[in-house]
Amino acid sequence: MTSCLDTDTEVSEVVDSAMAEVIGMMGSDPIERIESSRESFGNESTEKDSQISVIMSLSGEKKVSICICLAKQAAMLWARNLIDHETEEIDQTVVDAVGELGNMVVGSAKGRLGGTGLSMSLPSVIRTGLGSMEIPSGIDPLRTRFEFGGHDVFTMISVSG
Amino acid sequence: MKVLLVDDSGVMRKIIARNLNSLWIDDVVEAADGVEALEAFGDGEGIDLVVTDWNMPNMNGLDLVKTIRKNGHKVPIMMVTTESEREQVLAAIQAGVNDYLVKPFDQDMLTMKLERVLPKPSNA
Repeated sequence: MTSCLDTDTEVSEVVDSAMAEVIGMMGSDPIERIESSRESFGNESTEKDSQISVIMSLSGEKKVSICICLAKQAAMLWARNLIDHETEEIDQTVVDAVGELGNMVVGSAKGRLGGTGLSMSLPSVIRTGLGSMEIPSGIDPLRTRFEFGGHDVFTMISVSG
Repeated sequence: MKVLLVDDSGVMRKIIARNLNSLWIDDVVEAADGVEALEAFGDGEGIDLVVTDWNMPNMNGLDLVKTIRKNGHKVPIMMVTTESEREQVLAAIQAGVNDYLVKPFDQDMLTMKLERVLPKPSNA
């Protein structure tokens, strides 16, 4: 199977499907795709711990950067769904759960993209949202907004090479 | 029975350990990468099953499997990983894994595979 990394739109569709699969299989609350845009959605936070993000990459013929950003309540809901973890704050278990979400979503997307020529990075988790991220010139990511249990989840995808 | 559980994700280790505890396994030794796993494995004495991830820092799961088999150990090994491509699965089987489960997984599927790869004690 050849790799399909021509556009960020194609990659985004694959990541969308992977998100639905992962959250559907490992959690109990459904996730719903709302909209995609090249522009900011306007509710991306800069405040520490109001959102939490996992960043990963796929490398091969092209390079893909994938960021999944969860609102604090979405991250805690994910940790609760995944391992029955109850918390009022973003703690290490929530950080681990978000990292594992990135791992499973990007891993699943890699398989769908015909990924034997692709290598996947280890996840990095940062306790901030898309509002704190700066995009270097020349990169024009595609953003998608989801709703998970009534809370925001965003993806931001860039393809280069 | 004792299981060596290897994954750099603490959350994934919790999920799999919970499944193991729901069966007849109450002794689970955890490691966060292949290097820690080899230290915990030692000469393999008393280890009835190894469950390992693939992508981990320091030493990945495939290299861990190859090292265990190269040293002559026949302990059952199950790989639980996001790597799903045919070539990856074949590489793992050729390295010596006995079973393979792709993440994300259904919990019932994990339990079924663990039951199949681990011999049931006579009093379970």
